[in-house]
Amino acid sequence: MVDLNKMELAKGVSSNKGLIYNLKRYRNLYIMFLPVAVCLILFNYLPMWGVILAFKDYVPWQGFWGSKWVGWSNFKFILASPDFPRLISNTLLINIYKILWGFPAPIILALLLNEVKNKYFKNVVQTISYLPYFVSWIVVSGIMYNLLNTNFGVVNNMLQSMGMEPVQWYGRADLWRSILVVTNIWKSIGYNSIIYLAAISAIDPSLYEAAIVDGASRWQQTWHVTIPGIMPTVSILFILGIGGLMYGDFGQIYALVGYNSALYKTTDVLDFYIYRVGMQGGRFSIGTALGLFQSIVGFIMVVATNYIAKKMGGEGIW
Amino acid sequence: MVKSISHRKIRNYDVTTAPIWFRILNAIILLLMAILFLLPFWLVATASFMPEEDIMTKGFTLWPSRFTTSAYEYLFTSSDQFINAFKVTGLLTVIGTANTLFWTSMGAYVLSRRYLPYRNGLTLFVFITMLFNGGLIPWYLVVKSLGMVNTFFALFVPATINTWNMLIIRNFFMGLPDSLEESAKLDGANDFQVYFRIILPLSLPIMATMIIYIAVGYWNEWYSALIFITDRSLYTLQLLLRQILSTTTLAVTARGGRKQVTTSAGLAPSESLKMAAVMVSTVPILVIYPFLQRYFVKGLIIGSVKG
Repeated sequence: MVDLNKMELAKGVSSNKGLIYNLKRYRNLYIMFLPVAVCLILFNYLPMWGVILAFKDYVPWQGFWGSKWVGWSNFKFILASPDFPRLISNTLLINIYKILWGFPAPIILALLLNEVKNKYFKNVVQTISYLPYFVSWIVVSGIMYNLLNTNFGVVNNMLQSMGMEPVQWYGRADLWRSILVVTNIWKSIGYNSIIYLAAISAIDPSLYEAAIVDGASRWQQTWHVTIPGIMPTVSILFILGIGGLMYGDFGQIYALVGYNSALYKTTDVLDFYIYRVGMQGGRFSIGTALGLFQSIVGFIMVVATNYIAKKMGGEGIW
Repeated sequence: MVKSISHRKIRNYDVTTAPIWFRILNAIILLLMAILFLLPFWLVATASFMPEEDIMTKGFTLWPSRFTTSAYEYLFTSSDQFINAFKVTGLLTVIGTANTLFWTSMGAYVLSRRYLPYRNGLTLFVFITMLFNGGLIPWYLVVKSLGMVNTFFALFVPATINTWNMLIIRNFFMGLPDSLEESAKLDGANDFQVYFRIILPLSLPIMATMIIYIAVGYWNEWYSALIFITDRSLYTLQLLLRQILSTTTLAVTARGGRKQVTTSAGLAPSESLKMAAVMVSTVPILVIYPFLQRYFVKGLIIGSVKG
């Protein structure tokens, strides 16, 4: 793990000369890093340490220090709460559906784009496909309003012109998990496909050549060369996806559903609940405890998936 | 050279082996998808140019029945909220991007020096923040205790360091030859001079990519504003847009009467107005997007290389 570059070796300088010596010798570099360290400590490490709030009963006027220790009672309260099963199942189900439908989608798009030989056409389609990634969820909510509004929406207009009954989209909880999955795919498919296209272009061309010499058809080349070639990328993105299973997409939920309680049954996820009940409702300790729960479960899942992926001979993130 | 020749050979094979029906089908599928990505923007644009009365009778349509810019005029003249949010967002985009890029890239430079003692420790220090976080409420309390709530600073100071971008920039710096630094050091340059005069000028491509990513992020910013800002004069464009969109429409009862209807947002939320607001906050991105998209791609490809 001794990390020396040529220059240092040539000068015969070792990095193991003691803390004071190192701090002095590399003073400038450490000074350059100082602002980063300060920011990370303030806005990342301090909040991490602030999770002890989950074991306190936070009362604003008593402050962080003055508030009483309550042990596990916040967690007990959460587990006993009727909202909890709903929050967990919504968060997990929406994410599982997103992975189930949304994970293969950009891979398929990348494979389709890879088959296009006209460079101009490919560029145009690609450029258009990742446009939605760069608008905010708020803008998407405006688009959804245009499409799904009960009185004026384009979709209901179409349904009515075909002689069908208009649908009360914003009152139908049973439809919203699908809507969340579809909008999520719409927004991210193009952008995510770039990663896979990059992985495809990094595949050694001689593998294709060998496959062709062996008489492989275009489909067989895709199946036996392209797909195995992008598996490491697939594996890494999958692990990251699993790690995020406990995290709802706050932006999406807040923008598209917001405070429409008619839809909470299927759309209320942990992140929005933490904001709505924890922060706006002033139940800071409960919100913190839920956040801690998310963070721990998320971490365990990343570690576990990483382990399994490696056991199966795949690529891990570490 | 060898690579490009063998690649061309494969291309020739392709032409002979790829079934023509598949290529036609593929082109049709991709064309339909492209329409699917663009159509929603078109529909919003159409609605924003339609007179309110027509929306009331016909709803949102594919083509505007009549063309008017009154929603846009109203958006900018009825109250200064929208213009104000524009100013806040513009300022935030410039200052926030400069602030984030300056500190993040300097940190990335430090992490990229292979000979630096404790480099691995520092990298771990950065990496841990990507695995764990304290969650919304402790974060809010920290920012609050720093006295930043309801100030402009809350919108960009907590987001100063972008760890993911820092690791990407670090990878780029590590790809630059060591000899650059060595020769500059021999000429008596210190670390600051090496960084600002030699490394940075050579890193313009990655910096351009980062500027665009970070700037788009700040342009679309509403989360910090939602959490930290209650003062309307500090609302970002997207948050104001959210307010405009979520106010219930009263236009049905006040048919054609854009003037009388005001709500908590202080704007008359007629339907075309909502759509115009969506357009105005999206158009800057739509306009610059085609020119910048190659940088997006470049950045993502650099970032996706595991390192």
